[in-house]
Amino acid sequence: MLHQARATTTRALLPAALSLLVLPAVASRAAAQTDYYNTDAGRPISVEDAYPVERRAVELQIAPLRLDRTGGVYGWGIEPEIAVGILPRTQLEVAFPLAYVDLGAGRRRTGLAGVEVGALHNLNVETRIPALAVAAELLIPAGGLGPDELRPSLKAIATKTFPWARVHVNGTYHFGDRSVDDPVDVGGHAASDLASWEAGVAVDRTFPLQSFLLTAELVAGRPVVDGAEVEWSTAAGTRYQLSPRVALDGGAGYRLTGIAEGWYVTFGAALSLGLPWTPRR
Amino acid sequence: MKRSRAVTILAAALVAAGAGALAPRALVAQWSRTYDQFYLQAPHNWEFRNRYVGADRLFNAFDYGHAILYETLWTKPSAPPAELEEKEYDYLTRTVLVRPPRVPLEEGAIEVRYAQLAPEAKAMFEWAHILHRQVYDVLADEGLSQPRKDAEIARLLAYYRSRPDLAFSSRPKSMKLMQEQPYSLAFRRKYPKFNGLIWAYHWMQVGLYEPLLVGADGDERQAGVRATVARFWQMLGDPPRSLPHQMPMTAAVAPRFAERYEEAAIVFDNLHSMHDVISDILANHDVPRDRKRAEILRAARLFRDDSSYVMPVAAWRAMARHMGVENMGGPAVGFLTALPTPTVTYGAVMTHDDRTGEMTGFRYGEATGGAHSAHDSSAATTPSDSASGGHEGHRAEPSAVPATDRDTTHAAHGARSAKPARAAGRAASPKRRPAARPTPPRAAPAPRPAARDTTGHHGHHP
Repeated sequence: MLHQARATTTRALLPAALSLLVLPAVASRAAAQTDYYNTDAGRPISVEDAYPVERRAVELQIAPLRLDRTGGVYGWGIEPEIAVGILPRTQLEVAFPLAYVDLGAGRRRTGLAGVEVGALHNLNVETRIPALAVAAELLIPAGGLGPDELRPSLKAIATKTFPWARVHVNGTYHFGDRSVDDPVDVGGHAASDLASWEAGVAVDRTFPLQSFLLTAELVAGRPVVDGAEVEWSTAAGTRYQLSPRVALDGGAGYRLTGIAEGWYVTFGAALSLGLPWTPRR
Repeated sequence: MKRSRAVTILAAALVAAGAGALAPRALVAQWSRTYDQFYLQAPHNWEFRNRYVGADRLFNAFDYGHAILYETLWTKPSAPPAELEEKEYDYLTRTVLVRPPRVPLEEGAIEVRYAQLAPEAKAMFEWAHILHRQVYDVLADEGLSQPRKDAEIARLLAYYRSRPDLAFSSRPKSMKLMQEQPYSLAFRRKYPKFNGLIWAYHWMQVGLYEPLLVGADGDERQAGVRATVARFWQMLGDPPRSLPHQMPMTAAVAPRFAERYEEAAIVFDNLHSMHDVISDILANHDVPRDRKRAEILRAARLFRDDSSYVMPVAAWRAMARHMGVENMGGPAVGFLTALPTPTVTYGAVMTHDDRTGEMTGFRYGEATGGAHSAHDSSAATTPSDSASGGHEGHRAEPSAVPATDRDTTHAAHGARSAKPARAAGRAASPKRRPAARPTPPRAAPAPRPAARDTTGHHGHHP
């Protein structure tokens, strides 16, 4: 009986775990900037700043790992990604999240969990006015563990810097009629996973001589489940510039409320290069 | 319904965050769309960092010095001079420079408020600093032949110019733009030690090209870089006396480099000149705080355009000679054991003929001896007490008022040029014969070819 219940739970949590792996891509533009100072969604927290990668920069996410535990089920993921500063203040990115889920009872599933395509456009650089940006993302059904429908979203981002810290505010709206009656249908995932909307605030503190920052966030979101309450989660982490081309990040988060309470940890590294051709004059 | 409400809330939040309490006009004035661009991708990327670790790290420390300077000037306008002259200077020279950062710094995290005041100017500096670093990379790349280095630097300059919104003009600018504006000289007067430190930074930033260029092979380049870095430390020995007394000009400090890569040298001089201009704008209380941004943006425009305050290249070279390399910290290679003796008072402002570059007088400060003894200013009040330098005879009373009120430009001159220390930089003045310079007793022993530069400092810590 107990075993049956666990099997049911793990099946139900499979999409949840997958969604959490995809989360960094869905919730906002995926991590893109090598520079430790330019925070990226999912590296290590989901709230990000209002700046894209530099124009003509190419950023390769080479080891963005995530371990999640929800309801006793572990999920692993890695999300290779490329982001390109294709235009002034604008980046394009493509991510290929790969998921590995332990279903319990010796069963495991591994596969591509969709393809994420996104763009972020910065509207202005910070003066007395905060830096503002808009982002659009599309999660495309692809792979054995991908979603079953297109999932577009729009996001607004603001960044304000104070001498003591920076504050980032993100708000995302997900399009699509995914409202469901039964939370099991979507696995009882986190607020910012298959949410209809989510909003978050993050604060980071920089240690410039060490090229290092600490960051923390609080995120709220409404799941697509009918009648579900707003869910809250929190996370904290660090980013570190290992070399001019390589930045590392790590963090941990906890889902405070909702039926998918649990924790996750992340680790990432990104390599930054430039476009190999010179611009036309 | 839910969806439209959510979108409305998002939009409202963005607008509210953006507009704040700013009036529409102020909002327009504050709206900035500048942006960063990645450095030119090339096989020589970070070559200098890999081969000259210590010197490269010092440049990271220099970034901190520039950033904390602007942030302090902007955020603490009423602070006593000791805030920069003692507290920050000591921290820089005893901590940051001694243990410089591993990687280039995010200056926006140090100069938070300044970056918000003038992000356009910050972006110009960063773009020029990228050029600086990439030129080091090319010259440090032992796998490139000299013609290939020339071609790569030409490619870097083309890439640099591809951002006309950020690129400094490739035409030399008169020193009038730097030191004869209404706000000029405020910084050097109030903060002579920190100003001298910035000039020492600039001396090394342009000077380090010289050993990379004149070294015959990798060992010589390593030794030359070590010697130039050691010289930088020597400059910090007795500030401000031992620090440069004039803005280091590339044509004087690194004449071989300026000869071969003229355009880059001009850009770097313009860059360093604008560094001083922004320091003056921030330090000068006669520029109201609500005018600082506008003045900085005006100066930035003037430094970018190819028409304002320009002078011929030959005049730019002559001006550098007449300013006297001994007043800039001396040449970057082939120097003597002792620091050169300046021939002008600290921060002196010479006037120049913009057509020829020849010195015409002093606007601020005076000569303390040397090859310019024939330049007598009508404002001269104090006889020179030194005959060792190149500026004896140029005298003007040190002024406590803005330099624009004190024009001594047209005093009588028997102009004799200061002679650069290295023959390689000796492009004779079009009209005047360079004056004789006291012959040094002996040259410093050439540094031994050594292991790679990995420390960045060599026993001359202050």
